[in-house]
Amino acid sequence: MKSNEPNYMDERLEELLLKADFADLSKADQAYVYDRMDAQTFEESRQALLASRRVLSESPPPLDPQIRGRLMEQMRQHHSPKPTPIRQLASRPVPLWQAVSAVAAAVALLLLFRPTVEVLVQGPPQMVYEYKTDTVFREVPIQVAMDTPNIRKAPSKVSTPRVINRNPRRIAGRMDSLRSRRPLPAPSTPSDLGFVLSANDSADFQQVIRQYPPRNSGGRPLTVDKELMHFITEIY
Amino acid sequence: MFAFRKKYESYSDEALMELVGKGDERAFGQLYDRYATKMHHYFYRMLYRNQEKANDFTQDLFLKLVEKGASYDPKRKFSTWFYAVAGNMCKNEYRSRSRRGSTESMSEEIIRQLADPGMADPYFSNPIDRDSFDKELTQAIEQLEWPHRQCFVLRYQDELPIKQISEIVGCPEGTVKSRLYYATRKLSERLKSYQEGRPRQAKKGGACKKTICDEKQ
Repeated sequence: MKSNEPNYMDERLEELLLKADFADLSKADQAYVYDRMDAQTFEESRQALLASRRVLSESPPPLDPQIRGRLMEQMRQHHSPKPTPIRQLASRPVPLWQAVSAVAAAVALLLLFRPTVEVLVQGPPQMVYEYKTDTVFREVPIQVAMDTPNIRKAPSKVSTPRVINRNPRRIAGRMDSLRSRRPLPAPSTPSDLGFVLSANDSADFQQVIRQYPPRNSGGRPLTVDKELMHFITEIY
Repeated sequence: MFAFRKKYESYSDEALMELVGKGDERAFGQLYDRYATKMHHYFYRMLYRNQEKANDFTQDLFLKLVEKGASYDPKRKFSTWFYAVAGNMCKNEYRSRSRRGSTESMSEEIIRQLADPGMADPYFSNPIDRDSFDKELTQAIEQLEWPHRQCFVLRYQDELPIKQISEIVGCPEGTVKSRLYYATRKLSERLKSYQEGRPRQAKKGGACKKTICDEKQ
């Protein structure tokens, strides 16, 4: 063994060791080797390397074939989505009797509360009377005493009869005489109260007419006024 | 339908590993087919030709791939990372074995296996001279120090380049070269002593030194 022997496996030295015997190397290669080790060491190292490669290349007993299947199963389990609570609930096994009874209950509910379907048969049209809002009304002038407590005292807003307005003196005299008299009895009809009779529909109107028949003091009766009668008939 | 299936055979290891991280089973199957035998062979050699352990370690190694596939950095070369993980597994096994304080050392186990040829290696039934030589060599390899043996196996069994070995073992290239050199020298010395003592044994067994020397390539 040479004193300047290297302490590492040079790539070229390794190549030469695996390439050929020392004797078969070229002069340059032999010189390269000889700089690092003697021929005997080269041969021993070469033999060890070649034999080691041969031994190491020998196939070991075969790998257990079940390992692949087990690993694939592990892979599947590891990457399968984690079960959510809903999934866990859905995947939970249910006894058969529970499933059957649930289905039976659902069927019973459907039969009991079966929705009915109404079939409408369209018949011939029938004439019906539809009452409309009555907008027809009458104005009835009434005679109101000046000292009636229902009339406001403000003289400017009291509508005084036209005849009385002609002579203020007579009005004043009349007022004096009325004050001295006893008060008039309370009005018995709406007409006496001075409001306008109104009715929302014809039925109300007819009722009002019957309850408070118009006096002949003003206007004309409907039987006489043909035009008004015709108007009302047309409307109703 | 099959026209749209990916051709995983043409994928690089790194691309397959990315797919494995996303849960692609076929990519995992492809990686397994590429590396299972190699890694089994590696474990078999590093774990003193213990077939059961080699199987278990191979399975555990691929299990790490399944569980920690998402943490793989695709910038790293897959085979380097994979061998490094395998090497660490072996190292841990040695440590745990030494912690357990096993009275039976590795070399004793090997010797016991070698004493029973059928148990040690079922492929050699006849104790011929070459087998004896190979067993001697195998024993010598297995008795190398762990770092030297790792480099030696990676270099001459898995035929990895020195640069990649240095990345796997986490040492400079010079250290790897040095380990390879010392491993080779140690083996050659062991074989030399074997060959020197062989002629005496050969008279009994009917083998000769020339048979061994003729194995040269």
